[in-house]
Amino acid sequence: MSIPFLIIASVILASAWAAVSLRNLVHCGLCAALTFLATGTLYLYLNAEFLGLVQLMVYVGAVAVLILFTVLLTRPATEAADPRPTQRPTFWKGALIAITVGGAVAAGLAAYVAPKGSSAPQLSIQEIGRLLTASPQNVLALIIVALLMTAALIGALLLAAPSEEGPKGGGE
Amino acid sequence: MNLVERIDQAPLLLQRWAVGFFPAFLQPWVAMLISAAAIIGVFASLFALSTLAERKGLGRIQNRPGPNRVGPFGMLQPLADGIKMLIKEDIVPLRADKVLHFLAPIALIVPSLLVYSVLPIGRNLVAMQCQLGVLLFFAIGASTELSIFMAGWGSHNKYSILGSIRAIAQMISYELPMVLAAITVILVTSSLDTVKIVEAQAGGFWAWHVCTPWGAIALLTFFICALAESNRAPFDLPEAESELIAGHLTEYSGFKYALFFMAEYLGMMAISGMAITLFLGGWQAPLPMLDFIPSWLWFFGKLAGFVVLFIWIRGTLPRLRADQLMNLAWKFLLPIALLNIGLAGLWVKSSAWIAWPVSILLLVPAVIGLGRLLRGSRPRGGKRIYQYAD
Repeated sequence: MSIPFLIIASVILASAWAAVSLRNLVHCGLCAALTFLATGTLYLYLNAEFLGLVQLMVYVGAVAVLILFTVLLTRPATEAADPRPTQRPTFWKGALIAITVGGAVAAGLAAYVAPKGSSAPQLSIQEIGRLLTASPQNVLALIIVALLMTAALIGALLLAAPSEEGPKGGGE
Repeated sequence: MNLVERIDQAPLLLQRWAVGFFPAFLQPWVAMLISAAAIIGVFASLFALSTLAERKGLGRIQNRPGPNRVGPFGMLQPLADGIKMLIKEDIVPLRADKVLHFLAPIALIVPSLLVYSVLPIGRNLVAMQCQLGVLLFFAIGASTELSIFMAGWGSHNKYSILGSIRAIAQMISYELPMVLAAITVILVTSSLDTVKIVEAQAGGFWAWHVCTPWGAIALLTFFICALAESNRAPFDLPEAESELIAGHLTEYSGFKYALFFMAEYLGMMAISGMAITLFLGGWQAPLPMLDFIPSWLWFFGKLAGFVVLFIWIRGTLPRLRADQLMNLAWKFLLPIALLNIGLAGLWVKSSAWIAWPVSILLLVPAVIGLGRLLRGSRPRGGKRIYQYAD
Protein backbone atom coordinates (compact mmCIF):
# COMPACT_ATOMS: atom_id res chain seq x y z
CA MET A 1 0.00 0.00 0.00
CA SER A 2 1.57 3.23 -1.11
CA ILE A 3 0.80 6.68 0.30
CA PRO A 4 -0.88 8.09 -2.86
CA PHE A 5 -3.20 5.08 -2.95
CA LEU A 6 -4.15 5.54 0.71
CA ILE A 7 -4.91 9.23 0.16
CA ILE A 8 -7.02 8.58 -2.96
CA ALA A 9 -8.86 5.66 -1.37
CA SER A 10 -9.68 7.59 1.79
CA VAL A 11 -10.99 10.52 -0.29
CA ILE A 12 -13.19 8.12 -2.28
CA LEU A 13 -14.59 6.48 0.84
CA ALA A 14 -15.10 9.70 2.79
CA SER A 15 -16.79 11.54 -0.06
CA ALA A 16 -18.96 8.53 -0.92
CA TRP A 17 -20.08 8.34 2.70
CA ALA A 18 -20.77 12.08 2.74
CA ALA A 19 -22.73 11.78 -0.51
CA VAL A 20 -25.29 9.47 1.07
CA SER A 21 -25.37 10.90 4.59
CA LEU A 22 -25.45 14.70 4.20
CA ARG A 23 -28.83 16.41 4.62
CA ASN A 24 -28.55 18.99 1.84
CA LEU A 25 -29.09 17.30 -1.53
CA VAL A 26 -26.85 19.76 -3.38
CA HIS A 27 -24.00 18.95 -1.00
CA CYS A 28 -24.65 15.26 -1.63
CA GLY A 29 -24.42 15.86 -5.38
CA LEU A 30 -21.14 17.75 -5.03
CA CYS A 31 -19.71 15.01 -2.80
CA ALA A 32 -20.71 12.46 -5.44
CA ALA A 33 -18.79 14.59 -7.95
CA LEU A 34 -15.78 14.46 -5.63
CA THR A 35 -16.12 10.66 -5.51
CA PHE A 36 -16.11 10.54 -9.33
CA LEU A 37 -13.08 12.82 -9.41
CA ALA A 38 -11.16 10.70 -6.91
CA THR A 39 -12.08 7.51 -8.78
CA GLY A 40 -10.74 9.06 -11.98
CA THR A 41 -7.55 9.95 -10.12
CA LEU A 42 -7.26 6.35 -8.95
CA TYR A 43 -7.46 5.15 -12.57
CA LEU A 44 -4.79 7.67 -13.54
CA TYR A 45 -2.63 6.46 -10.65
CA LEU A 46 -3.03 2.89 -11.92
CA ASN A 47 -1.76 4.00 -15.37
CA ALA A 48 -5.15 3.54 -17.00
CA GLU A 49 -5.03 7.03 -18.54
CA PHE A 50 -7.83 6.59 -21.04
CA LEU A 51 -10.25 5.21 -18.47
CA GLY A 52 -9.30 7.90 -15.96
CA LEU A 53 -9.74 10.80 -18.36
CA VAL A 54 -13.01 9.44 -19.73
CA GLN A 55 -14.18 9.03 -16.13
CA LEU A 56 -13.37 12.71 -15.51
CA MET A 57 -14.98 13.89 -18.73
CA VAL A 58 -18.17 11.83 -18.50
CA TYR A 59 -18.78 11.65 -14.76
CA VAL A 60 -17.40 14.93 -13.45
CA GLY A 61 -18.23 16.94 -16.56
CA ALA A 62 -21.63 15.51 -17.45
CA VAL A 63 -23.13 13.08 -14.93
CA ALA A 64 -22.40 15.24 -11.86
CA VAL A 65 -23.94 18.26 -13.57
CA LEU A 66 -26.93 16.11 -14.58
CA ILE A 67 -27.37 15.02 -10.94
CA LEU A 68 -27.20 18.61 -9.69
CA PHE A 69 -29.63 19.84 -12.35
CA THR A 70 -32.03 17.02 -11.51
CA VAL A 71 -31.87 17.96 -7.84
CA LEU A 72 -32.52 21.61 -8.60
CA LEU A 73 -35.28 21.00 -11.13
CA THR A 74 -37.34 18.35 -9.33
CA ARG A 75 -37.63 19.42 -5.68
CA PRO A 76 -36.65 22.19 -3.34
CA ALA A 77 -33.15 21.29 -2.25
CA THR A 78 -33.44 22.89 1.17
CA GLU A 79 -36.40 20.71 2.12
CA ALA A 80 -35.66 18.82 5.34
CA ALA A 81 -35.15 15.08 5.02
CA ASP A 82 -37.92 12.77 6.23
CA PRO A 83 -37.11 11.85 9.86
CA ARG A 84 -38.43 8.27 9.46
CA PRO A 85 -36.91 6.93 6.24
CA THR A 86 -37.96 3.30 6.87
CA GLN A 87 -41.65 4.26 6.72
CA ARG A 88 -41.41 5.76 3.26
CA PRO A 89 -42.74 3.50 0.49
CA THR A 90 -39.57 4.00 -1.52
CA PHE A 91 -37.36 2.65 1.27
CA TRP A 92 -38.13 -1.02 0.61
CA LYS A 93 -37.90 -0.59 -3.15
CA GLY A 94 -34.52 1.04 -2.68
CA ALA A 95 -33.39 -1.71 -0.35
CA LEU A 96 -34.46 -4.35 -2.90
CA ILE A 97 -32.53 -2.62 -5.69
CA ALA A 98 -29.48 -2.23 -3.43
CA ILE A 99 -29.51 -5.93 -2.51
CA THR A 100 -29.95 -7.01 -6.15
CA VAL A 101 -27.16 -4.80 -7.47
CA GLY A 102 -24.88 -5.63 -4.54
CA GLY A 103 -25.54 -9.34 -5.06
CA ALA A 104 -24.76 -9.10 -8.77
CA VAL A 105 -21.51 -7.26 -8.08
CA ALA A 106 -20.54 -9.73 -5.35
CA ALA A 107 -21.30 -12.69 -7.65
CA GLY A 108 -19.20 -11.10 -10.37
CA LEU A 109 -16.31 -10.50 -7.97
CA ALA A 110 -16.53 -14.07 -6.63
CA ALA A 111 -16.37 -15.48 -10.16
CA TYR A 112 -13.38 -13.31 -11.12
CA VAL A 113 -10.03 -15.03 -11.38
CA ALA A 114 -7.01 -12.72 -11.28
CA PRO A 115 -4.77 -13.13 -14.34
CA LYS A 116 -1.37 -14.73 -13.88
CA GLY A 117 1.70 -12.52 -13.93
CA SER A 118 2.18 -9.16 -12.28
CA SER A 119 2.55 -6.68 -15.15
CA ALA A 120 -0.54 -5.07 -16.69
CA PRO A 121 -0.68 -5.05 -20.50
CA GLN A 122 0.34 -1.76 -22.11
CA LEU A 123 -2.55 -0.68 -24.32
CA SER A 124 -2.23 2.22 -26.71
CA ILE A 125 -5.20 4.43 -27.43
CA GLN A 126 -5.28 3.24 -31.07
CA GLU A 127 -5.78 -0.35 -29.94
CA ILE A 128 -8.60 0.66 -27.58
CA GLY A 129 -10.28 2.51 -30.43
CA ARG A 130 -10.00 -0.49 -32.74
CA LEU A 131 -11.37 -2.83 -30.05
CA LEU A 132 -14.31 -0.52 -29.41
CA THR A 133 -15.38 -0.02 -33.01
CA ALA A 134 -14.28 -3.14 -34.89
CA SER A 135 -15.88 -6.01 -33.00
CA PRO A 136 -19.69 -6.31 -33.39
CA GLN A 137 -20.55 -6.99 -29.73
CA ASN A 138 -18.67 -3.90 -28.55
CA VAL A 139 -20.47 -1.74 -31.11
CA LEU A 140 -23.79 -3.17 -29.93
CA ALA A 141 -22.89 -2.38 -26.32
CA LEU A 142 -22.00 1.19 -27.29
CA ILE A 143 -25.34 1.67 -29.04
CA ILE A 144 -27.28 0.19 -26.10
CA VAL A 145 -25.50 2.52 -23.66
CA ALA A 146 -26.29 5.48 -25.91
CA LEU A 147 -29.99 4.52 -25.95
CA LEU A 148 -29.96 4.15 -22.18
CA MET A 149 -28.52 7.63 -21.73
CA THR A 150 -31.15 9.09 -24.06
CA ALA A 151 -33.91 7.35 -22.07
CA ALA A 152 -32.50 8.76 -18.83
CA LEU A 153 -32.41 12.25 -20.33
CA ILE A 154 -36.04 12.02 -21.49
CA GLY A 155 -37.00 10.78 -18.02
CA ALA A 156 -35.36 13.79 -16.42
CA LEU A 157 -37.19 16.08 -18.86
CA LEU A 158 -40.53 14.44 -18.02
CA LEU A 159 -39.89 14.91 -14.29
CA ALA A 160 -39.10 18.57 -14.74
CA ALA A 161 -41.73 19.46 -17.35
CA PRO A 162 -44.76 21.44 -16.12
CA SER A 163 -47.88 19.29 -15.69
CA GLU A 164 -50.64 19.54 -18.30
CA GLU A 165 -53.60 20.12 -15.91
CA GLY A 166 -52.65 23.00 -13.68
CA PRO A 167 -51.79 26.35 -15.19
CA LYS A 168 -49.21 26.82 -12.46
CA GLY A 169 -46.88 24.05 -13.61
CA GLY A 170 -43.86 23.13 -11.55
CA GLY A 171 -42.25 19.76 -10.96
CA GLU A 172 -43.91 16.67 -9.48
CA MET B 1 23.82 23.71 -31.68
CA ASN B 2 23.92 27.02 -33.53
CA LEU B 3 22.61 30.33 -32.28
CA VAL B 4 19.16 30.05 -33.90
CA GLU B 5 18.52 26.67 -32.30
CA ARG B 6 19.91 27.97 -29.02
CA ILE B 7 17.41 30.85 -28.93
CA ASP B 8 14.64 28.49 -30.03
CA GLN B 9 15.37 26.17 -27.12
CA ALA B 10 16.29 28.92 -24.64
CA PRO B 11 13.50 28.18 -22.13
CA LEU B 12 14.40 24.50 -22.09
CA LEU B 13 18.15 25.21 -21.68
CA LEU B 14 17.37 27.65 -18.89
CA GLN B 15 15.31 25.02 -17.12
CA ARG B 16 18.09 22.40 -17.46
CA TRP B 17 20.65 24.88 -16.14
CA ALA B 18 18.50 25.67 -13.09
CA VAL B 19 17.76 22.00 -12.42
CA GLY B 20 21.50 21.26 -12.47
CA PHE B 21 21.93 22.99 -9.11
CA PHE B 22 19.84 20.39 -7.29
CA PRO B 23 20.77 16.85 -6.15
CA ALA B 24 19.78 14.05 -8.53
CA PHE B 25 16.84 12.70 -6.55
CA LEU B 26 15.20 16.15 -6.47
CA GLN B 27 15.75 16.93 -10.15
CA PRO B 28 12.51 15.54 -11.67
CA TRP B 29 10.47 17.37 -9.03
CA VAL B 30 12.35 20.62 -9.54
CA ALA B 31 11.91 20.33 -13.32
CA MET B 32 8.15 19.89 -12.87
CA LEU B 33 8.01 22.79 -10.44
CA ILE B 34 9.86 25.06 -12.85
CA SER B 35 7.51 24.13 -15.72
CA ALA B 36 4.48 24.84 -13.56
CA ALA B 37 5.94 28.12 -12.28
CA ALA B 38 6.79 29.19 -15.83
CA ILE B 39 3.25 28.48 -17.04
CA ILE B 40 1.70 30.36 -14.13
CA GLY B 41 4.09 33.29 -14.50
CA VAL B 42 3.89 33.64 -18.27
CA PHE B 43 0.16 33.22 -18.65
CA ALA B 44 -0.69 35.34 -15.61
CA SER B 45 1.35 38.20 -17.09
CA LEU B 46 -0.33 37.62 -20.45
CA PHE B 47 -3.63 37.90 -18.58
CA ALA B 48 -2.57 41.30 -17.24
CA LEU B 49 -1.47 42.41 -20.71
CA SER B 50 -4.67 41.23 -22.36
CA THR B 51 -6.86 43.10 -19.84
CA LEU B 52 -4.97 46.24 -20.82
CA ALA B 53 -5.31 45.42 -24.53
CA GLU B 54 -9.00 44.78 -24.04
CA ARG B 55 -9.68 48.04 -22.23
CA LYS B 56 -7.61 50.01 -24.72
CA GLY B 57 -9.12 48.24 -27.73
CA LEU B 58 -12.70 48.55 -26.53
CA GLY B 59 -11.99 52.18 -25.78
CA ARG B 60 -10.82 52.75 -29.37
CA ILE B 61 -13.88 50.94 -30.76
CA GLN B 62 -16.18 53.07 -28.60
CA ASN B 63 -14.33 56.27 -29.53
CA ARG B 64 -12.84 57.02 -26.11
CA PRO B 65 -9.20 56.84 -24.96
CA GLY B 66 -9.51 53.95 -22.48
CA PRO B 67 -7.18 53.84 -19.45
CA ASN B 68 -4.68 56.69 -19.80
CA ARG B 69 -3.80 57.85 -16.28
CA VAL B 70 -1.52 55.22 -14.73
CA GLY B 71 1.97 55.24 -16.20
CA PRO B 72 2.83 56.21 -19.79
CA PHE B 73 -0.31 55.80 -22.01
CA GLY B 74 -2.00 53.99 -19.11
CA MET B 75 0.37 51.05 -19.46
CA LEU B 76 0.52 50.39 -15.71
CA GLN B 77 -3.27 50.09 -15.40
CA PRO B 78 -3.19 46.27 -14.81
CA LEU B 79 -0.83 46.86 -11.85
CA ALA B 80 -3.22 49.40 -10.36
CA ASP B 81 -6.15 47.02 -10.95
CA GLY B 82 -4.27 44.22 -9.23
CA ILE B 83 -3.47 46.27 -6.15
CA LYS B 84 -7.07 47.49 -6.00
CA MET B 85 -8.35 43.90 -6.13
CA LEU B 86 -5.96 42.74 -3.41
CA ILE B 87 -6.84 45.43 -0.88
CA LYS B 88 -10.60 45.33 -1.45
CA GLU B 89 -12.76 44.00 1.37
CA ASP B 90 -13.69 40.34 0.95
CA ILE B 91 -17.44 40.17 1.51
CA VAL B 92 -19.19 36.85 2.16
CA PRO B 93 -23.01 37.04 2.24
CA LEU B 94 -24.53 36.24 5.65
CA ARG B 95 -26.59 33.27 4.45
CA ALA B 96 -24.06 32.04 1.91
CA ASP B 97 -22.85 28.47 1.91
CA LYS B 98 -19.46 29.49 3.33
CA VAL B 99 -17.48 26.42 2.26
CA LEU B 100 -18.75 26.36 -1.33
CA HIS B 101 -18.44 30.13 -1.64
CA PHE B 102 -14.80 29.86 -0.60
CA LEU B 103 -13.94 26.77 -2.66
CA ALA B 104 -15.52 27.88 -5.97
CA PRO B 105 -12.78 30.27 -7.17
CA ILE B 106 -10.08 27.75 -6.22
CA ALA B 107 -11.88 24.92 -7.98
CA LEU B 108 -12.09 27.14 -11.06
CA ILE B 109 -8.51 28.41 -11.22
CA VAL B 110 -6.83 25.01 -10.75
CA PRO B 111 -8.29 23.33 -13.88
CA SER B 112 -7.83 26.58 -15.83
CA LEU B 113 -4.10 26.40 -15.18
CA LEU B 114 -3.86 22.61 -15.43
CA VAL B 115 -4.96 22.52 -19.08
CA TYR B 116 -1.84 24.45 -20.11
CA SER B 117 0.27 21.42 -19.26
CA VAL B 118 -0.50 19.76 -22.61
CA LEU B 119 -0.21 22.81 -24.88
CA PRO B 120 3.01 22.71 -26.94
CA ILE B 121 4.27 26.29 -26.68
CA GLY B 122 7.31 25.68 -28.86
CA ARG B 123 9.54 22.96 -30.29
CA ASN B 124 10.12 20.53 -27.37
CA LEU B 125 8.43 23.04 -25.09
CA VAL B 126 5.53 21.23 -23.48
CA ALA B 127 5.09 20.75 -19.75
CA MET B 128 3.75 17.21 -20.08
CA GLN B 129 3.83 15.20 -23.29
CA CYS B 130 0.91 12.84 -22.94
CA GLN B 131 -0.44 10.21 -25.31
CA LEU B 132 -3.94 11.55 -24.57
CA GLY B 133 -3.24 15.28 -24.52
CA VAL B 134 -6.40 16.45 -26.32
CA LEU B 135 -8.61 14.23 -24.18
CA LEU B 136 -6.89 15.54 -21.03
CA PHE B 137 -7.52 19.11 -22.13
CA PHE B 138 -11.26 18.54 -22.56
CA ALA B 139 -11.62 16.30 -19.50
CA ILE B 140 -10.07 18.88 -17.19
CA GLY B 141 -11.90 21.70 -18.92
CA ALA B 142 -15.21 19.94 -18.26
CA SER B 143 -14.75 20.21 -14.50
CA THR B 144 -14.96 24.02 -14.54
CA GLU B 145 -18.75 23.72 -14.89
CA LEU B 146 -18.97 22.35 -11.36
CA SER B 147 -17.05 25.26 -9.88
CA ILE B 148 -19.39 27.72 -11.57
CA PHE B 149 -22.28 25.80 -10.07
CA MET B 150 -20.57 25.98 -6.66
CA ALA B 151 -20.17 29.73 -7.03
CA GLY B 152 -23.80 30.24 -7.98
CA TRP B 153 -25.24 27.95 -5.35
CA GLY B 154 -22.85 28.98 -2.59
CA SER B 155 -23.71 32.68 -2.95
CA HIS B 156 -27.34 32.09 -1.88
CA ASN B 157 -28.58 34.67 -4.31
CA LYS B 158 -31.22 34.22 -7.00
CA TYR B 159 -29.26 36.15 -9.59
CA SER B 160 -26.21 34.02 -8.88
CA ILE B 161 -27.97 30.68 -9.21
CA LEU B 162 -29.78 31.79 -12.38
CA GLY B 163 -26.54 33.03 -13.87
CA SER B 164 -24.65 29.88 -13.01
CA ILE B 165 -27.39 27.61 -14.41
CA ARG B 166 -27.33 29.64 -17.60
CA ALA B 167 -23.56 29.35 -17.73
CA ILE B 168 -23.61 25.57 -17.24
CA ALA B 169 -26.37 25.06 -19.81
CA GLN B 170 -24.37 27.11 -22.27
CA MET B 171 -21.08 25.35 -21.58
CA ILE B 172 -22.61 21.88 -21.89
CA SER B 173 -24.37 22.81 -25.14
CA TYR B 174 -21.25 24.23 -26.76
CA GLU B 175 -18.88 21.59 -25.44
CA LEU B 176 -20.44 19.02 -27.75
CA PRO B 177 -19.85 20.77 -31.12
CA MET B 178 -16.42 21.85 -29.87
CA VAL B 179 -15.30 18.31 -29.12
CA LEU B 180 -16.83 17.11 -32.39
CA ALA B 181 -14.82 19.76 -34.23
CA ALA B 182 -11.64 18.60 -32.48
CA ILE B 183 -12.43 14.98 -33.35
CA THR B 184 -11.87 15.70 -37.07
CA VAL B 185 -8.22 16.46 -36.33
CA ILE B 186 -7.89 13.33 -34.18
CA LEU B 187 -9.43 11.31 -37.00
CA VAL B 188 -7.00 12.62 -39.63
CA THR B 189 -3.79 12.56 -37.56
CA SER B 190 -4.93 9.39 -35.71
CA SER B 191 -3.34 10.75 -32.55
CA LEU B 192 -4.53 12.44 -29.37
CA ASP B 193 -1.04 13.69 -28.61
CA THR B 194 -0.85 17.48 -29.01
CA VAL B 195 2.86 17.33 -29.88
CA LYS B 196 2.26 14.81 -32.69
CA ILE B 197 -0.69 16.85 -33.99
CA VAL B 198 1.57 19.89 -34.32
CA GLU B 199 4.30 17.81 -35.98
CA ALA B 200 1.76 16.48 -38.49
CA GLN B 201 1.27 20.06 -39.72
CA ALA B 202 4.95 20.70 -40.53
CA GLY B 203 5.92 22.29 -43.86
CA GLY B 204 4.41 25.74 -44.02
CA PHE B 205 0.98 27.29 -44.22
CA TRP B 206 -0.46 24.83 -46.78
CA ALA B 207 0.17 21.89 -44.46
CA TRP B 208 -1.88 23.37 -41.64
CA HIS B 209 -5.22 21.73 -40.99
CA VAL B 210 -7.08 24.99 -41.57
CA CYS B 211 -6.20 24.67 -45.28
CA THR B 212 -8.43 21.64 -45.75
CA PRO B 213 -12.20 21.84 -46.23
CA TRP B 214 -12.97 20.00 -42.99
CA GLY B 215 -10.30 21.97 -41.11
CA ALA B 216 -11.66 25.37 -42.09
CA ILE B 217 -15.21 24.48 -41.03
CA ALA B 218 -13.96 22.77 -37.85
CA LEU B 219 -11.88 25.82 -36.93
CA LEU B 220 -14.91 28.09 -37.38
CA THR B 221 -17.08 25.76 -35.27
CA PHE B 222 -14.34 25.46 -32.68
CA PHE B 223 -13.87 29.21 -32.51
CA ILE B 224 -17.58 29.96 -32.06
CA CYS B 225 -17.73 27.32 -29.32
CA ALA B 226 -14.58 28.75 -27.76
CA LEU B 227 -16.30 32.13 -27.48
CA ALA B 228 -19.23 30.45 -25.74
CA GLU B 229 -17.11 28.20 -23.51
CA SER B 230 -15.12 31.10 -22.14
CA ASN B 231 -18.35 33.11 -21.59
CA ARG B 232 -17.15 35.92 -23.82
CA ALA B 233 -19.26 38.29 -25.87
CA PRO B 234 -21.52 37.69 -27.80
CA PHE B 235 -22.18 34.69 -25.55
CA ASP B 236 -21.79 36.48 -22.21
CA LEU B 237 -25.40 35.94 -21.14
CA PRO B 238 -24.42 34.27 -17.86
CA GLU B 239 -22.98 37.50 -16.57
CA ALA B 240 -25.44 39.80 -18.35
CA GLU B 241 -24.86 42.84 -16.20
CA SER B 242 -28.14 44.58 -17.03
CA GLU B 243 -30.45 41.68 -16.06
CA LEU B 244 -28.46 39.31 -13.85
CA ILE B 245 -25.99 41.85 -12.43
CA ALA B 246 -23.04 39.58 -13.38
CA GLY B 247 -24.62 36.20 -12.56
CA HIS B 248 -22.46 33.93 -10.47
CA LEU B 249 -19.98 36.78 -9.89
CA THR B 250 -22.57 38.95 -8.09
CA GLU B 251 -21.56 38.04 -4.54
CA TYR B 252 -17.82 37.94 -5.11
CA SER B 253 -15.44 40.78 -4.39
CA GLY B 254 -11.77 41.44 -3.91
CA PHE B 255 -9.33 38.68 -4.67
CA LYS B 256 -11.95 35.99 -5.21
CA TYR B 257 -13.47 38.11 -7.96
CA ALA B 258 -10.00 38.61 -9.40
CA LEU B 259 -9.55 34.83 -9.54
CA PHE B 260 -12.81 34.45 -11.51
CA PHE B 261 -11.72 37.22 -13.83
CA MET B 262 -8.32 35.58 -14.29
CA ALA B 263 -9.90 32.19 -14.92
CA GLU B 264 -12.00 33.70 -17.72
CA TYR B 265 -8.93 35.07 -19.48
CA LEU B 266 -6.89 31.94 -18.81
CA GLY B 267 -9.70 29.83 -20.25
CA MET B 268 -9.88 32.07 -23.30
CA MET B 269 -6.14 31.80 -23.92
CA ALA B 270 -6.04 28.05 -23.26
CA ILE B 271 -8.83 27.38 -25.73
CA SER B 272 -7.18 29.67 -28.30
CA GLY B 273 -3.96 27.74 -27.73
CA MET B 274 -5.83 24.52 -28.39
CA ALA B 275 -7.30 25.96 -31.60
CA ILE B 276 -3.79 26.97 -32.69
CA THR B 277 -2.45 23.51 -31.87
CA LEU B 278 -5.24 21.67 -33.66
CA PHE B 279 -5.76 23.80 -36.76
CA LEU B 280 -3.16 26.55 -37.13
CA GLY B 281 0.05 24.58 -36.99
CA GLY B 282 0.89 25.22 -33.33
CA TRP B 283 4.38 26.65 -33.09
CA GLN B 284 5.17 26.08 -36.80
CA ALA B 285 6.13 29.03 -38.99
CA PRO B 286 3.79 29.75 -41.93
CA LEU B 287 6.70 29.64 -44.40
CA PRO B 288 9.73 27.34 -44.07
CA MET B 289 12.07 30.28 -44.73
CA LEU B 290 10.79 31.98 -41.55
CA ASP B 291 12.00 29.13 -39.36
CA PHE B 292 14.78 31.26 -37.88
CA ILE B 293 12.19 33.05 -35.72
CA PRO B 294 11.90 31.09 -32.45
CA SER B 295 9.01 28.62 -32.38
CA TRP B 296 7.57 29.95 -29.10
CA LEU B 297 7.39 33.42 -30.66
CA TRP B 298 5.16 32.01 -33.42
CA PHE B 299 2.89 30.42 -30.83
CA PHE B 300 2.55 33.59 -28.79
CA GLY B 301 2.08 35.65 -31.95
CA LYS B 302 -0.83 33.46 -33.02
CA LEU B 303 -2.19 33.59 -29.47
CA ALA B 304 -2.05 37.41 -29.52
CA GLY B 305 -3.95 37.33 -32.82
CA PHE B 306 -6.67 35.23 -31.21
CA VAL B 307 -6.90 37.53 -28.17
CA VAL B 308 -7.26 40.56 -30.45
CA LEU B 309 -10.00 38.72 -32.37
CA PHE B 310 -11.83 38.00 -29.09
CA ILE B 311 -11.65 41.69 -28.12
CA TRP B 312 -12.71 42.85 -31.59
CA ILE B 313 -15.75 40.56 -31.51
CA ARG B 314 -16.65 41.78 -28.04
CA GLY B 315 -16.60 45.35 -29.23
CA THR B 316 -18.61 44.59 -32.39
CA LEU B 317 -21.37 42.04 -31.86
CA PRO B 318 -24.48 42.46 -29.70
CA ARG B 319 -25.31 39.82 -27.10
CA LEU B 320 -27.42 36.81 -28.13
CA ARG B 321 -30.78 35.93 -26.59
CA ALA B 322 -31.01 32.67 -24.60
CA ASP B 323 -33.13 30.90 -27.25
CA GLN B 324 -30.83 32.06 -30.06
CA LEU B 325 -27.90 30.70 -28.07
CA MET B 326 -29.43 27.23 -27.77
CA ASN B 327 -30.65 27.20 -31.38
CA LEU B 328 -27.19 28.04 -32.66
CA ALA B 329 -25.57 25.23 -30.70
CA TRP B 330 -28.06 22.42 -31.21
CA LYS B 331 -29.65 23.20 -34.56
CA PHE B 332 -26.75 24.71 -36.46
CA LEU B 333 -23.30 23.90 -35.06
CA LEU B 334 -24.05 20.30 -34.08
CA PRO B 335 -25.32 19.10 -37.51
CA ILE B 336 -22.53 20.96 -39.29
CA ALA B 337 -19.92 19.43 -36.97
CA LEU B 338 -21.37 15.94 -37.54
CA LEU B 339 -21.33 16.39 -41.33
CA ASN B 340 -17.79 17.67 -41.02
CA ILE B 341 -16.65 14.49 -39.28
CA GLY B 342 -17.91 12.52 -42.28
CA LEU B 343 -15.97 14.81 -44.60
CA ALA B 344 -12.81 14.34 -42.52
CA GLY B 345 -13.29 10.59 -42.95
CA LEU B 346 -13.60 11.11 -46.72
CA TRP B 347 -10.36 13.14 -46.62
CA VAL B 348 -8.57 10.22 -44.96
CA LYS B 349 -9.98 7.56 -47.28
CA SER B 350 -9.74 9.36 -50.62
CA SER B 351 -7.45 11.83 -52.35
CA ALA B 352 -7.65 15.62 -52.11
CA TRP B 353 -8.92 15.77 -55.73
CA ILE B 354 -12.12 13.99 -54.70
CA ALA B 355 -12.43 15.36 -51.16
CA TRP B 356 -12.28 19.08 -52.06
CA PRO B 357 -15.17 19.20 -54.57
CA VAL B 358 -17.33 16.78 -52.58
CA SER B 359 -16.78 18.80 -49.39
CA ILE B 360 -17.64 22.09 -51.07
CA LEU B 361 -20.70 20.57 -52.74
CA LEU B 362 -21.95 19.24 -49.40
CA LEU B 363 -20.88 21.99 -47.00
CA VAL B 364 -21.97 25.11 -48.84
CA PRO B 365 -25.62 24.03 -49.34
CA ALA B 366 -25.70 22.61 -45.79
CA VAL B 367 -24.47 25.80 -44.14
CA ILE B 368 -26.62 28.13 -46.28
CA GLY B 369 -29.72 25.91 -46.14
CA LEU B 370 -29.53 25.37 -42.39
CA GLY B 371 -28.96 29.07 -41.83
CA ARG B 372 -32.01 29.98 -43.96
CA LEU B 373 -34.13 27.34 -42.20
CA LEU B 374 -33.23 28.64 -38.75
CA ARG B 375 -33.85 32.22 -39.77
CA GLY B 376 -37.29 31.19 -40.99
CA SER B 377 -38.20 29.70 -37.63
CA ARG B 378 -37.67 33.03 -35.92
CA PRO B 379 -40.88 34.77 -34.78
CA ARG B 380 -41.80 37.24 -37.52
CA GLY B 381 -42.85 40.66 -36.39
CA GLY B 382 -41.83 42.79 -39.27
CA LYS B 383 -39.01 45.27 -39.11
CA ARG B 384 -38.47 46.64 -35.64
CA ILE B 385 -38.67 50.39 -35.43
CA TYR B 386 -37.23 52.06 -32.38
CA GLN B 387 -39.17 55.00 -31.03
CA TYR B 388 -37.03 57.52 -29.28
CA ALA B 389 -38.41 58.85 -26.01
CA ASP B 390 -39.67 62.40 -26.22
